[in-house]
Amino acid sequence: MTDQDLKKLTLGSAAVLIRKKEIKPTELTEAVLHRIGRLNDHMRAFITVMADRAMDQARVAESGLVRNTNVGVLHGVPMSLKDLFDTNGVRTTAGAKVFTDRIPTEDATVVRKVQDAGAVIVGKANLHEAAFGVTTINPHFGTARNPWNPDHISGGSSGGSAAAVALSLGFGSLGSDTGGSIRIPASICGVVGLKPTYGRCSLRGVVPLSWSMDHPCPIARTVEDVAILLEAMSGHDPLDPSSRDTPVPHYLEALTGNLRGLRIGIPTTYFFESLEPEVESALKDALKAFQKLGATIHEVQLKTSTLQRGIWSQIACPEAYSFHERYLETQGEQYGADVRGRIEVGRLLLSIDYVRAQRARTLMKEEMKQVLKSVDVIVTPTIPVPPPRIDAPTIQQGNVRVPVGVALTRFTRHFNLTGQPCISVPCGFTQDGLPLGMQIAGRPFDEATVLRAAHAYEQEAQWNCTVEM
Amino acid sequence: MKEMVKKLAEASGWSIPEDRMTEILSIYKATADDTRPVREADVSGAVPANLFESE
Repeated sequence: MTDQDLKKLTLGSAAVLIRKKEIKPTELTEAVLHRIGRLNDHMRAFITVMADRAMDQARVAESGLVRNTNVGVLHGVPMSLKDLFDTNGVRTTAGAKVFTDRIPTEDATVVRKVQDAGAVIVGKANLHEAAFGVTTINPHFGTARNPWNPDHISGGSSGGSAAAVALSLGFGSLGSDTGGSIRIPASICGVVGLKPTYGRCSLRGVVPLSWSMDHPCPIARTVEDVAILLEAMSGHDPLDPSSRDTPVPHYLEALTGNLRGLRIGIPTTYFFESLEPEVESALKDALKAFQKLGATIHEVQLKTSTLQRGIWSQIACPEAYSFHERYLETQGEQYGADVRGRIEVGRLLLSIDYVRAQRARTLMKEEMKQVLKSVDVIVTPTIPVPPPRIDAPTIQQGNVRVPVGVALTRFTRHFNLTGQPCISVPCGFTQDGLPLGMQIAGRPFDEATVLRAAHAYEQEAQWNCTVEM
Repeated sequence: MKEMVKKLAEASGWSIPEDRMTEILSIYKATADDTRPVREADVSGAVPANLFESE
């Protein structure tokens, strides 16, 4: 199987061909591993490649097909895991040097679920250290490079997952999102990343950044692929206090292509301010596509959006510090300079600030609840700028230069604070050939409508998101 | 601000090394700037969001 053959496949199409026995899991896994071997030294999408284990899993999947045993939706399909997800017997570093030799003895719940569905795990994907950043410029494990232009970042913190998916180094990945960490890299790498509703997927066995805003997430090349992964990884976990006991729909059934009557809310202030012209133009074209599909566009107000940055910091920093406290006290020098200070400052914030932030968060959630009575989904750009270069610590945003992290998280954190589902889908390319992304957010536990809107747009727009590499 | 940050750190049991003070001050100031709007916001009538609830 050639690289060209691999790049033509999606998770969904690979799963079908495997079930029909037109492709063998071992053949597919071998091709993916070969491609990883060729590209990973430079692209750094993976921290750990699980070649032997992957081939063992592929062989088991193959014999399962021969015996016609119960075949799960991911049967024999190679995919990766962000190296934040505990994997039994495999080092799980969280991208941090302090965890280089950390080997869990149990799979995270979502890892167990995708493996129960038949997935073949090819490796642990690179990430921004401790998941606390948006570039995946990782001082310990290398920089995950953008598959569309390796001089640019892959985004973060799930940068390795996004790069792996875009490069067809596996047909999907599990990532996480606490402030944009699946949507930002999805947008930057030209793939699809969904942050589900908080509590939709179990956090058990996921190394925490901020417990009240962490979300395990699917990321893949198409909306259909993300829907398949989401269903496989979702569901109540009685051992995770954040997990909600809400039925898991068959998300593929939501992909009807019908958007007639869908009301789309556009928060024109804040989310549509200081956009780079190419981003603005892409969003305008996307809204026209939605209208062509029968949706209606309505202006909405999200006045609390100006508070999102402060609320997020006052919650995330103390929560992050609480987890890393014992490691920082004894091995602080092992943390990268980029991350160490930002986590440590969490111990200087007052408890009253944390409580005030959680109260302001209630106001955000109440406002969103009201807005989503008059519209069904909210659409915004995922990030306000084109994908930044690796060597650029700041980027032009409107009339000012801002740190890259500030620019990239401008539009994403709001939906971590409200906990609602939010997807990023490709919506175009810059003149330099770099991907642009659009966010679609919906009501809590209404991933079906979010996926329906995203899928219909994707099928209408038909962006060619196959990398040349 | 340096003295305030030092006192906050000491209250939490942390003695910031002098060679890291500039870095910590810079991050603290940036965080304080970000969080000022939240300190000034009117949150009366709002209870803290439940840690583990999305709705």
